[in-house]
Amino acid sequence: MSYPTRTIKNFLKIGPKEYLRQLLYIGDTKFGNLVGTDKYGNKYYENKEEFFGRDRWVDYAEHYGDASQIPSQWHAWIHKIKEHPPTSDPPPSPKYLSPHTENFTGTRKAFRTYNTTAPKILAWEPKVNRRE
Amino acid sequence: MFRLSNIAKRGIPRVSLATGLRPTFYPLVSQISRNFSNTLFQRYPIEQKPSPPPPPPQKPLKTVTAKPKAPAPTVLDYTANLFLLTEIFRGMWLVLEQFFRPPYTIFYPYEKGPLSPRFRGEHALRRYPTGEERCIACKLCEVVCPALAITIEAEARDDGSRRTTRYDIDMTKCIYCGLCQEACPVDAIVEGPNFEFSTETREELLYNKEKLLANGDKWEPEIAKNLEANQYYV
Repeated sequence: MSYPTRTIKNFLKIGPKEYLRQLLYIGDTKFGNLVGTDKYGNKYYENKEEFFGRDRWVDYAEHYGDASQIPSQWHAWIHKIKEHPPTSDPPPSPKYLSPHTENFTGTRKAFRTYNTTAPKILAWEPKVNRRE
Repeated sequence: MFRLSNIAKRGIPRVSLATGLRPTFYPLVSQISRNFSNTLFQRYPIEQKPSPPPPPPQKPLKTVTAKPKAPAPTVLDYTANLFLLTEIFRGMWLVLEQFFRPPYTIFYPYEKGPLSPRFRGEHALRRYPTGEERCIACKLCEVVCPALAITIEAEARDDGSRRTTRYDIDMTKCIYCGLCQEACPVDAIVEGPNFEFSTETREELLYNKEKLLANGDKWEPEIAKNLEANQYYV
């Protein structure tokens, strides 16, 4: 959790409704500036008064958010690879850029490997003349 | 006998550290003192001071008188400690102190730790800005891979360019050493910043060419930025 003064201070800033939501969501009371929202609905916050590592966080669009739902533009920011968020420092977006997908393991969309080459050995196919 | 002070004295007039060594911007090579550091100190002649008077003979050190030993705990002390649970309460007090301190824990899916631009995570095959795949099937990565995780087969395409028909990476074999991306002459295979690709089954980790290209298409904004940040060091 946290130490009481921080919880009380953040509670006074965010109000009881948001406090209860965060308590059910991350079990902590956090306050920060909304830095941006990606196109999947995840919200990204920053509060430089928190210590390093807890100063940037994400509020997932889904309740049980998965870490692989963060798109690559924001991934660099939340991992502190980049200092500035993509709203102010947009990364290159090539024309072949595909929409971000989460890790689909355990679902029907999970990756199943397949062969990308033509078969090199052709099996013998027995041909039998039909009996008259 | 080897002493650092003897080295410092060799061939260099003895100067006082407070007045003789001052950082300057344009030192002559002969004036650079041998101080084994990156900071350049210029050594310049200063007014010769008269040699300091010989130090007064040192007084013999006072022998520290040993404090009188605390009296050894008696049976009564042991019994009092035992029955009043003093050690237990001291330990519980430590826990109570820790309870009111802020934890140094990161709540992982919401807060994430710092990563390097050189982080070696999930592999990806990149494309040129035109959308043409970069890999030319030179098989350097296949050769350099110490875990023998990469398998490549190549054919000439219809337009005559040499491309891979098979680019498989067995991610269960891969040791994420990064030699493949160092060997690649066209920056095609890279280890991207993603590390959240754990799977439930082993078969999902046998990546083929299409999966690697899809990774590249997905992570290209961040991969390009990371390569850009690293361009001075490769």
